[in-house]
Amino acid sequence: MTKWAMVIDQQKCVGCGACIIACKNENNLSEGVNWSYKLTETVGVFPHVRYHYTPTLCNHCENAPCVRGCPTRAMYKLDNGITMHDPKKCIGCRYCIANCPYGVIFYNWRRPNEQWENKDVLIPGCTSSPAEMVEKTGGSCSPYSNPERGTTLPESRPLGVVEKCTFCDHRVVRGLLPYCVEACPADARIFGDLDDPDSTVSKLLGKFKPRRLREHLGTEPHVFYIRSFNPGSYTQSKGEIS
Amino acid sequence: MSTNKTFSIVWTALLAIGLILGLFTAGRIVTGGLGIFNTDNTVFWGLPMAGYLFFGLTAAGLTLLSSLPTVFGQKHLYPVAKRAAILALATLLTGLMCKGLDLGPFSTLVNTLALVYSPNFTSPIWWMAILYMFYFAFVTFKFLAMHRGNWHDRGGVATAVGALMLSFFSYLSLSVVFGTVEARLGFMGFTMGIYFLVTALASGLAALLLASVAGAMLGRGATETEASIRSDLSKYLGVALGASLVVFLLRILRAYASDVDQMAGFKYMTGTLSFGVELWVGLCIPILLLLIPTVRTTLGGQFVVALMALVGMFAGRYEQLLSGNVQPMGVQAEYIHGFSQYSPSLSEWGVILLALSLTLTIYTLGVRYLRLEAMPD
Repeated sequence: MTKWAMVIDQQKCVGCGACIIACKNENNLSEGVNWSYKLTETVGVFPHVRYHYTPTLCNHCENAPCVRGCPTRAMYKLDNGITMHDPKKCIGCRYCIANCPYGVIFYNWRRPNEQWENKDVLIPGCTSSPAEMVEKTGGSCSPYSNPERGTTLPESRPLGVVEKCTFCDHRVVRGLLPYCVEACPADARIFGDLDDPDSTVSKLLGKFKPRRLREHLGTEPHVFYIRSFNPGSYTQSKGEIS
Repeated sequence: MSTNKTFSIVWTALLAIGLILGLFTAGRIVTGGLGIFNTDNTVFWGLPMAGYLFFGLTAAGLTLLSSLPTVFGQKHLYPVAKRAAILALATLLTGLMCKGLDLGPFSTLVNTLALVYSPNFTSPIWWMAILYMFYFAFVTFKFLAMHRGNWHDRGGVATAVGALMLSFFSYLSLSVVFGTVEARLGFMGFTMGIYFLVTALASGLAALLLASVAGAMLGRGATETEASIRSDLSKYLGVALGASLVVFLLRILRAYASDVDQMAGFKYMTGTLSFGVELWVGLCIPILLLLIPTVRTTLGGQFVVALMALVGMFAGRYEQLLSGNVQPMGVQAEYIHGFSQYSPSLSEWGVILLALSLTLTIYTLGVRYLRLEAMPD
């Protein structure tokens, strides 16, 4: 049985944010909604200080607390391990947000992409209004909306329901990698089948000691982190007492 | 014009204004969604949800009080039992309305049908929704049975026992909703369940005492028997508030004895206004006042402590919610530095105004037309 998983190599991730932008474009996300994002930590004390990036997304947990708590099974697991969400069953209770230890589920407080419904033009007789731009480009919710997203979910999820990363299930069923993986210029995101011992993710998990976020909660995330970004070196010593 | 008539006109006008403003807010929510709230993906449950907890748990306390004479034979409480029953009905209705308005626009409310055709039996929210539906039905039937004078026939007792059991199980499911959120220790796990229990009783007692005092001030229920019951209710309220204070301190001790980062939200809330109101206005000062015999026996004293307890309990529901979500979770910390600076919008207050106005309207209509002082023969 296929179990999709992602390995994130933190030695390769430079925190460029390409995955975040790619995800927003692929999934027609509106302002303030980021299915993929990154945690930025500042490590050390000035002047010995650096940033540490942890890319984030839905962890597609094996024991997903959002799935357990959803009253209508709007949040559910596919056989391949992907945690999906059905907006037609979502009652907007936001208990999944309460249960998710990773803060990666978003509720649509406003109409998604509502800025593109604006019919006001900036310069009359010269520029198009946002709504006209959508009409002229043939987009559904924005001028650059991706119609392929609409194959398994509404192109843009409705007002009053939650939404989250789906591991680009619409691409995976067509044999394509999730778009954040595709767009990463450093190949820091690696996608594959956890149940296939010959997959790249399985090999990486066997080679490096993987970490998972908030593992003590027993959620069994399917997103693994390996290595750590650190280009620096230091002079070997035993420290000092002073 | 008599004082009573003037009061009646002013009271009706206030209720009408509250209902109109509240219904206007409700209309905006149903048509446009929750964008008019100040809640966000960090503080995802705000003031309307606190309203749900406040009114819902007050209903649980009132259901217990209204069941004491019928189910447990506490006959000295007969004169206030029907009043407690209609208050339970009104607060439960408005609590459920707060939760409904917290779900979002009409398109989302339609999806609640999925509770029937796509149930998830592992979800505490599903159990809570179903149990509250039955609970509401039984509270309604129970009041109707009382109103028809069928307090002690088979149907009357069955609805009273049913409402009481369902109030316990609804309260239990609500406790499980918060108790099983392992990711958010600020909700205090099942300690919250104990706190819900004692504060539900306290807020139910305070609501019943306040209603009884208001009735006596307006010339209804000014008998010696009712004065004796109010004195008893004051004593019970003192005990319930004392128990609430113990669990309140337990929460503080648990938070400060822990080094877990997730308790930071609760610790942050200890410095906020809602925490202060809950502790001092809702617990400490009323307990101290209730130690004075005159306060327990005079209408003014009873009015003040009951009102203070209710205000404190409401602030407490708000504080309990924010303790669990004021601290950004996971990647949400990228959007908010430190703690969320959430303060409710006017629309969120509008939901509470609607709930309060509706509760008081139902009760006022009950007082005028439903003979709330009625007792079994």
